[in-house]
Amino acid sequence: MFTCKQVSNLLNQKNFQDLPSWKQVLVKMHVKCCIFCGKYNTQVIDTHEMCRELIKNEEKTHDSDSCDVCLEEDNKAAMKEKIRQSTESAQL
Amino acid sequence: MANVETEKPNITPPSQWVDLYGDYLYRYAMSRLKNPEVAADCVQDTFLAGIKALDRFDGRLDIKYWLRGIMRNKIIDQIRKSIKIQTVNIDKEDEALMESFWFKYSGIATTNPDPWEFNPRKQFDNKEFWVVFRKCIDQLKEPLKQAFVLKMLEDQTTEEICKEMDITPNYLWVILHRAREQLRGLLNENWINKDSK
Repeated sequence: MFTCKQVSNLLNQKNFQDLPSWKQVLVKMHVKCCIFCGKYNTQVIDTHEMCRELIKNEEKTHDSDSCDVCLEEDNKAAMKEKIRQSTESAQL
Repeated sequence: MANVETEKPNITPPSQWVDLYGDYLYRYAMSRLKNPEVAADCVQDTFLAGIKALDRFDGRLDIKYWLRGIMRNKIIDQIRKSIKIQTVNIDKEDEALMESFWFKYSGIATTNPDPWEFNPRKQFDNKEFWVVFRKCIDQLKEPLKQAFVLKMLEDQTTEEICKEMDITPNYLWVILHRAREQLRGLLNENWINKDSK
């Protein structure tokens, strides 16, 4: 079993989901039972999980053509020109 | 040796990158940098860096995600630059927190934090929640926001962030604690009260 300090250090070093599964189980067991760090570290884990879900959710949005955040046509044209120049100079 | 050429992965020509991946990369950059000009520059730099590094593309990833990997490093560089402009000051309250019994004994700030006023997990399927959550992260004060984004969204290590911000791991812990506190307050305010706004 981990101590409170070990649980806090683990959660400070890595996101909960990135811990090996055996550590996740022990950390979860600890925070469920611990009257000292339980409430606090549960909120830390909640935040880790929310950030992970946010990244997944944003990934879907970035892939979606219906999203209204797009590069302006002027920017696109300038980028294409830069790419053309860069590709040509790379071929020389 | 002659086979090396034929084993090269099928690469989308750079001339098509802007049309195929430009908007995707721009949305990713905007979600982190929030500045249209900086985000567009970041996308352009990514494409140019991609052309230079194309020899090293091994085809294991879709080229879109390979380009995103290049851009992620550029975004982290941008955030680091903005950190360097500011100085991170430790105030008396933060010092007291690092000296507190609970921090030293169990690595926490309090045994009884203010609760969420909603169950976060029940919101995971709600698209509207993620818009509010992202806005709340954007409202965090500096340097809490920079530390939070680098640690929680860009997966930087404690060592890397401490080096960039010129702070100790203990102080990073305090900053992340303050960021979580602020975020919880903002979420309680913006998500619970969203209908009354």
